[in-house]
Amino acid sequence: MKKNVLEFDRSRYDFRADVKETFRAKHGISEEVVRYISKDKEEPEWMLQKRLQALALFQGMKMPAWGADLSKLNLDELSYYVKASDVENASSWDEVPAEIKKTFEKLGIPEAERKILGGSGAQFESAVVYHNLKKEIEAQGVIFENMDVALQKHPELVQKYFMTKCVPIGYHKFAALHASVWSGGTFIYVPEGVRVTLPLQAYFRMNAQGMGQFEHTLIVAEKNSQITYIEACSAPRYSKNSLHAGCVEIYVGEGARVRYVSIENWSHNTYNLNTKLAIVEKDGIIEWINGNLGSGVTMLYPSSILKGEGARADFLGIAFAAPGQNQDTGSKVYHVAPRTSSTIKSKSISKDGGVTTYRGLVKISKRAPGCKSNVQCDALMIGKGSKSNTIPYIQVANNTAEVAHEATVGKIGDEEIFYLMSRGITKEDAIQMIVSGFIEPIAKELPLEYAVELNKLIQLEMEGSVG
Amino acid sequence: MSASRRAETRSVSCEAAPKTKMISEKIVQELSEARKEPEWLMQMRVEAFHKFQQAPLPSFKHGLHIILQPEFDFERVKLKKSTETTPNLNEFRDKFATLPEKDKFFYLNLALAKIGLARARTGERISIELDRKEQFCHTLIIAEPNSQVSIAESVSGDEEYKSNFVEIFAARDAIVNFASIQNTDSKNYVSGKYASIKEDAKVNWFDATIGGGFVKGSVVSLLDGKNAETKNYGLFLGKKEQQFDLYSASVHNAEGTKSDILMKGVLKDKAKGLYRGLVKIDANARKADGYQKEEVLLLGEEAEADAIPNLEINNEEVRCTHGASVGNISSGKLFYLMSRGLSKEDATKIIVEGFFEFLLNKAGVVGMKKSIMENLR
Repeated sequence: MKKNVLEFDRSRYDFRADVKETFRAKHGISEEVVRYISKDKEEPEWMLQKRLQALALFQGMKMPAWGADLSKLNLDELSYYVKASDVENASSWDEVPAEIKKTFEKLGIPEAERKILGGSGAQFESAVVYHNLKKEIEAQGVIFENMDVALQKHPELVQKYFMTKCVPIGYHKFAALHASVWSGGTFIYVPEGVRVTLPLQAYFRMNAQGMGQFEHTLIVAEKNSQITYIEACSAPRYSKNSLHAGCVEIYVGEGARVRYVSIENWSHNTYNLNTKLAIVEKDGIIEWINGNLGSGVTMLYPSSILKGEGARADFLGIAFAAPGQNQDTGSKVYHVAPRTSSTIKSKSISKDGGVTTYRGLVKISKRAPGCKSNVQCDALMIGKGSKSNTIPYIQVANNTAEVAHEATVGKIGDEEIFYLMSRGITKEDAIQMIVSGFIEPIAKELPLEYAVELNKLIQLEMEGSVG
Repeated sequence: MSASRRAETRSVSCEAAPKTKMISEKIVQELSEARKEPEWLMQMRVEAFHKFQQAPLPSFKHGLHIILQPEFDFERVKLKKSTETTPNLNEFRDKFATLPEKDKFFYLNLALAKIGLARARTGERISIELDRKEQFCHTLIIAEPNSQVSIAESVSGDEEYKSNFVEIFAARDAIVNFASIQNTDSKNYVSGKYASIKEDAKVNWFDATIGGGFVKGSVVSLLDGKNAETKNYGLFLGKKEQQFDLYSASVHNAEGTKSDILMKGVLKDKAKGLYRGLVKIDANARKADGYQKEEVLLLGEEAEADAIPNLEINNEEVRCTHGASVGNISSGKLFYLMSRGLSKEDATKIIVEGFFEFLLNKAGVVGMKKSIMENLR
């Protein structure tokens, strides 16, 4: 059955029975699977070669010996290519765990949206809004496409930037895995001098992208351009597949500014091993806003390479670990050019046995005089058995640098609760207020609807934690 | 033959007549015999020697990019024998050499070290000065309930390789103060200092690292008893091509325990300083309070500083804070002093002195101040 790419992509929206493929990728990864994915997407030869090269690298690399426990992750049991018409969308609403359904209800998420978030929906049509936005920005020369489509429509751009200088295919084992089986994602190209004022959101067409296991996000912001991209979905997303290994590459051109917002809330059966990296040229700014609420195990360290003089990186992160969750996150900044600066602010909440780890790196190289970096980690411990680790690496090879790191770990102070209760607030409300205050610096950077959702979600998680 | 003679004349500082020989099991046995050691100790030493041979060299790789590359060639280690009789350790057999982190360096030390014993009986107060000229030292300090032990250690020497291990057992209500200045000319110096601190006892460390080509130093407090306390203060002063790999840790194993780590360092020229700190709070250590701070002044244009101040908190009812900063002297401070007529060097010196002053006062080692300040040049 020969079909063109656009038709194929439609299937992800439409869930039409007649496009249902007979092939279902076998469990485990092999050259056959990789070749199939590439063929199915009718990719150019260089992409297939890249995938195969990455596969060889993946097979030769060892599992990381540090960080969260990955021993239960069985890479041979996973399906690496799930077509829209197969498992993900075909799973019925009944299969979605009751707990997640309950959360949807409490969050007041519309029926249709719930089904998509549950991985069982067929279509969520906010397409009108999306298309209008798209028309407007396309007039400015901005490209905002599904990664698969972009590869067909703009092969030279994709070839130039896709897993080349930013995240090379051999960056680490899961980057190599991603490179060999990637599918879907977002491609954004902002031409020189163009400032996109409205944030672009993957949310608008979330069934088309951003829901994959191995989605690839590539943002290229040319000189003096500006863009905000939001890949936020604070309601839990259920997926049958237990591994999420996405990749985000961001090129921030001279004087450009990119703000990347991501709230991830995968269901608790998921290993979230994501790779995010930005290269920032002269006077460019990258802003990371990163939230990790879900997944059983997260290992995610958005990184910035400050390559041009005066470049800046700001990272704002929040991690929430409920019982059984291990959030191992942080940020890395490489100061390789003079007078570059960075700030990292990380907040974590461990509740009732949840484990959070801040793991980060600030590296100031010899060739980079006048750099400044400030790292601040705050951890809040709630309930028995919670764990919190802070592992910041600071490496300074230039004596004109100023680097400071600060961290605090503690529970909610009895005095704070007492103070609020003396004002007539119940203990439960007092705790929630304090927690909301704790995450405020992150919430206020989010668009309103996400901030509200994030707050609600944390409140839900906090329910019954008095005692 | 001539080589060994040269070594003999160089190491005049050693008490016993020095002889240089490669290390072997036979030598370990002979040494133990000459020191009139009991059978169990000799056996322990021989076993340690075997473990030394089997153990891999620690990697000195901390995290992704933080790597030190010392040159260790144990073949080149020349042994200076000392045959002083070993004190009677029978009573402390269960305590001797039980420190938690055992690596290649520890085993070599255990096989060969001159063993020292300091014991303060219940209620007793003792103070000891230790002049470390020995190549391999292992000191056991027993502070019985309610006793008080003060130790001033100075480490010197010029060996290819030198190591020094200290174990402190502070029983209930005991107080141990251990202050050390290390200013050896040794090429490689490895030290490990550990304290097990019981209920209401206190162990206060002060550890100054000044000499040594490559220095690996650990100071670890195990807060094993309720309300035990530790202060772990240290400084380092790196010059030329010195490389330091320093580690301090507070391990809270019991309720109401308190720890305070403060490490200050100055790195000049091409010196490289890696500092790791750890505050670990066990699930049972409720109401624990941990503090950790590190400050480094990078004065040398080619100096490098790495810091990994870790927190590992397994219990929610705690308060734990840490901070680290790396930077140069602010130009504002220099300018202020220079506008008062001071040269840049003098201004720098005053600021560095001030940088350490607070720590030295806090650690209560005013007596050591002079010799440390001398090293600031």
